[in-house]
Amino acid sequence: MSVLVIAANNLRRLVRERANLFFVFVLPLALILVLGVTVAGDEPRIGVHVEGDVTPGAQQLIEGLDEVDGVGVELFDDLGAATDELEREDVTALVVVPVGYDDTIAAGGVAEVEYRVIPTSGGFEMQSLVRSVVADQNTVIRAGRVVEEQTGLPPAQASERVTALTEGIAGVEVVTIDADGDGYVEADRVGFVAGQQLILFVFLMSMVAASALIQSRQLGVTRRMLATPATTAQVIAGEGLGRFAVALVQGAFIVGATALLFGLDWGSWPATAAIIVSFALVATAAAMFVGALATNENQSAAIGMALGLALAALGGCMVPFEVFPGWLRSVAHITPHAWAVDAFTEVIQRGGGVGQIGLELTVLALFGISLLVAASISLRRAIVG
Amino acid sequence: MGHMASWRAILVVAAKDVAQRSRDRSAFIMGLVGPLALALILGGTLGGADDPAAFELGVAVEDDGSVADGFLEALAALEDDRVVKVTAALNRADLERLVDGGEVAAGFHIGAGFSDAVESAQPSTITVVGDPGSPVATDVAEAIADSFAAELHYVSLATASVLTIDRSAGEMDRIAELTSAARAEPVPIDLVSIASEGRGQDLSTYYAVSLSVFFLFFTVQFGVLSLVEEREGGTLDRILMAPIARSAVTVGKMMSSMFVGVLSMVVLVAATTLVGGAKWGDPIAVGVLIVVGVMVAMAVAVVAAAVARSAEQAVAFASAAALVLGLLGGMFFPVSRADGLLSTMSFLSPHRWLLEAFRDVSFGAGVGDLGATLAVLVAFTVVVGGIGLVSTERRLVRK
Repeated sequence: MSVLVIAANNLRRLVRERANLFFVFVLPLALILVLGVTVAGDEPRIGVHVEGDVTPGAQQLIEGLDEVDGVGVELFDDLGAATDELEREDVTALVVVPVGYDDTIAAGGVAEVEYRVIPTSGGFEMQSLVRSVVADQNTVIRAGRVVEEQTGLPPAQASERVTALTEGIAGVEVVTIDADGDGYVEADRVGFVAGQQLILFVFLMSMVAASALIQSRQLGVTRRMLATPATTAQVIAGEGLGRFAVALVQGAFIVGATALLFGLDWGSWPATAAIIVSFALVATAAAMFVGALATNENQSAAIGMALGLALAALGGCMVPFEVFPGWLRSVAHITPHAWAVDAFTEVIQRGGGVGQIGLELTVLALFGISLLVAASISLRRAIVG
Repeated sequence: MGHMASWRAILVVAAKDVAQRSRDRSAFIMGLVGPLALALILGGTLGGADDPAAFELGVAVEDDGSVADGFLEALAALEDDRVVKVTAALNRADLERLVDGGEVAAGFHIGAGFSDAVESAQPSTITVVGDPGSPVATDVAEAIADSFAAELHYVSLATASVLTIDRSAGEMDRIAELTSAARAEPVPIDLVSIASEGRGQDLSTYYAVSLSVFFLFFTVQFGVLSLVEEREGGTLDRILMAPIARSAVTVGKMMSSMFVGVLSMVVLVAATTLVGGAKWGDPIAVGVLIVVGVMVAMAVAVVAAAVARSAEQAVAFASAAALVLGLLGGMFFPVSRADGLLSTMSFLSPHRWLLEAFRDVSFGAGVGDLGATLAVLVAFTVVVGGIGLVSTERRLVRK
């Protein structure tokens, strides 16, 4: 009972303070907006710069790139302008075709086409698309050369022979399936990014709000509450319950708004709800812990911010685990974030349900409970001494 | 009250704030430990391109022909380059089990009769077993299989084309000869991947810059916010009873914020350069940007303090503003890649301007090249900070 009274009082205090409402809703709104625009973002573009004249061969390469689905091609006359756009990440990559491209190839040489990227933009997918376009062109030219050399036919006729046969040759087909032997369905990557960001922000916002507990402590409210028959655990639970409700609302708000407004696919609803509930518990408990430990509001905001971002970075909320070195992936699982990211990976990307994330949910619950216990002990110590 | 006295008052206020701040551990966390630790975690470990994570791929080959052997050799070469780490599986079911259990991120299956089919120009298949939870590794596996398939296609095409002319062929010897001639033929178009090294912003620099800027907006809050605290605590009234101009208190507080902000940025630049290998660029341009950045961040904090009614509220407003502006300005998402509304909105955030300016400097720009950006940032500081200061000052009297 006393838990509910404390929680109700906290929520009342929270709602009365307009600053808090701003914090509770404006921040998630900004996040939703950014996520939404990311979903609606234009197709990735690739820049092409041909040094010297655009020769027929170069034109063929450009057309090949243009035919790739989901990629826009932009031609640049000026290398400087193209490099600028690349550095601003307006284009994902820049393909530079060298001077004398056609002549080099006609003379039997090797034309070096540059594929320029900036290290921060990733873009492996784009590179393999460009590679396959180049490979297609290589196949025809290279086969033509072999025909020339082996039969003595002039280049034009050799090339004709090859082109005529291209479609008729039985090739090796690459088929992708999933581990169940079914067709591989690539999940919407934005959905997964949204999951990562939800974890980052729910935790961060909880941590920043830890100052409320410190204020109660500084004002002596906590001391007085402890003077009543309420136990430390009850006070923590009461203080935490309101915060927990806010974290839940924030999580639900982010999921609901992005799903309704931008059609973002969050996978199984019960599973997503279970992740949000268990992670909100962890976030709240962590905030209570910091709130009980920190000695002033500034300090808790600082610790909260640094810890919130560091755990998110280590826990796979900023960069996917796939590109983590193996050892770091193991280390990362000391953070609750990593378990929540794993759970979202299962639900959003693999289409799993509650049944597939039992382990992750259990670990999150254990994180939450141990942090709550630690918070109770520290709060007791901070007040009673 | 003379000019000197008021300067002294300003310095006393500033020195007291800096001293107070230096005793507060949170200043170190916010201004130094937090951004530095994060920049090192993100830039150092993940960006350490010396030894990027190899993709763990499984392979089940149920064919003992030479083409299948060629595929295994190609994989072994990639393993030597540490692009992939290969685990052998017995058959397709075993491979699916490995992928399902997360022991490998994706894998290849080549069925019995594959080599014969390829050699006799019959349709054949390489199966990639992917995990939707590891989309990048699955992409990598597909790319490897595709390029192997493209090479096989090329060899078949070249051989078949020659055979349409060279009727003497048809014998196995001739086919083998043509195949090896085709393989030996150099690739006419070579795609050379260049990660704009030396010129571009590497991951260490990227994280060092963006995290330093992000945390700066929190670091400089204290001076401004302590004004609100002193108002609440009543110490401000007592200070103002002394023969000091009201503005001396405000300016003193601003100076302490400025001092701590610049100091923390300078230490961060030095630390990330020495420890993390970040390349910030021309020191003068970096210095100018630091000063401008600190002022912009203070302007945001001043507005938060002006709107807030309590110290708690001021902290909340200032932190929320720093987070929202950071979010819109591209701290967490590459906003520049999104066209339209967001990209436009992101220019409302000083973070966007600062990040771009620092980026230009790390690409080699000097102070002279930053004219427009600096003008925007200074204008932002003057307008936003000015409005904030005027209303804060007014509140100080009204009380």
